[in-house]
Amino acid sequence: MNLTTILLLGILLLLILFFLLALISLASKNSKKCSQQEQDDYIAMVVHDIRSPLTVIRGSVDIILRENKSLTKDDVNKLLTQVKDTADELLEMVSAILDVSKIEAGKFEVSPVATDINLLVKMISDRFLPIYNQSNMKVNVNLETSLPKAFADPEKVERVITNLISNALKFTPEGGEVTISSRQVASFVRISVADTGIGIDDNMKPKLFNKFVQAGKTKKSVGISTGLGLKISKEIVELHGGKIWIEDNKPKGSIFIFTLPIAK
Amino acid sequence: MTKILFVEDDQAFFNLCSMELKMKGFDVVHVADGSLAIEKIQLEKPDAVLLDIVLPGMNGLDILQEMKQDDDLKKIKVAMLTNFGMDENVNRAMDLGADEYFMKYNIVLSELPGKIAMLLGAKPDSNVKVTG
Repeated sequence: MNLTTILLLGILLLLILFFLLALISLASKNSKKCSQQEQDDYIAMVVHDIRSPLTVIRGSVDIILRENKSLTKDDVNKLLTQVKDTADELLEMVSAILDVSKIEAGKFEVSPVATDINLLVKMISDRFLPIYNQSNMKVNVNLETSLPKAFADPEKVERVITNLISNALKFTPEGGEVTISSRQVASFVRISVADTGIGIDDNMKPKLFNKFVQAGKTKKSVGISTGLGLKISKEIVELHGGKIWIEDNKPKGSIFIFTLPIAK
Repeated sequence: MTKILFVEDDQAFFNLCSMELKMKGFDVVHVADGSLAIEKIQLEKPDAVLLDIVLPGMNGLDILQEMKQDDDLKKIKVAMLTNFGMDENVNRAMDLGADEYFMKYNIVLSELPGKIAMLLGAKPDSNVKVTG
C-alpha cells in the first residue's frame, strides 16, 4: 500500500473537517431568518450526519494500515473507493453550506445561456443508472421532442435536476418508480420529477424550500443529506425567473416541478 | 461458524464492520431495511444481532422490542451500534433487553470482533474464537 496515498487521505480528511466546522459556524451566524432552535437542530443534524462518513474514512484507512499484508488488491481498492466516495459526499455538503451562505449574503448568481434541457436531463438521469439498478427502481424519462431551449445556466440547473432526482431516490422504497418529464407551458419549459415514495405531509410542504429542512428519514445508500438542496434549488430557479413547487403524485408519492423561461 | 446479523442501512459502514468481523472468522449476514429484519432473523437464526437505530422501514428499538417479545428470538444477543448516544435511547435499549450499546463514532472497529466475542461468552484473551 502506498503510504503517500494514506498520508494524502489523512490530510484531505482533516481539511474537510476543519472547513466543514468553520462553514457550519458561518452558516449558523448568518441565518437571521431561523430561530435559535432551528439553528441548534440543524447543527445537531449536521454533526450527526458527518459522524458516519468520518467513521468510514477513519476505519477504512485504519484497516489498510493494519492489515496491509493480508488484504487482497481488491479489498484495498474497495476500501479506497469507499474513502473517495465518502470524501466526495462531505465535499458536496461543504459546497451546499457555502452556497447557502452566498445566497444569504446576496452573492449567489446565475449566468443563463440558451440551454437544451432535454440533453441535460438525459445526461443527469444516466448518471444515476447504477443507483436505479441497485435499488431495483423503474425510471421513466418522458421528454417533449420539440422542446425549445431554455434561457438557463446549465451548471446551476444541473444541480437542481440532480437534487430533485437524488431526493426522489432517497424517499422512494426499493422497487418504486421515478418519472422525469419535460414539456413547454406558455413561454416556459416545465421540468418535473415524480416519485412513488412516502409523500410529503401538507404541513411540511410550505417549509420544504427553507433551509435545514428534511422531509423524513432517507436511505443512506444514496448519500448524506444536508437539508439545503431544495433551498438552493429554489434560489437557482427564482434567479432565472422561474418557479418551483410540489404536488401530490396520486395515488402515492410527490411531484417536484420547476419552470425556466424559454430562450428568445 | 458464529453468525452475526447486522441491520444497517449505511452500506459503507457495513462493509467496514463486515470486513473486520470476517477477518476474525465470523459469518456476517446483512439487512439494510428495518422492516425486513425480523423475518431475516427468524430465517438466519444468528448468534448475535447488531442493530442500528435509525433505519428505513422500522427503527432498531422497535426491532429489539419485537425480538424480545418473540420466544424464539428473545435469547439472541443484541448489540446496538448507532450514532444516537442520548441517554433516552441508551436507557430504552437497555430496558428493552439490549446486551450492549456501542457508539459508531467512538468504537474502535478493530475491537468490534472482540467485543462481539465477549458478548457471546468468550474470555477477553481468547483471540475472539467463538464456536457457534
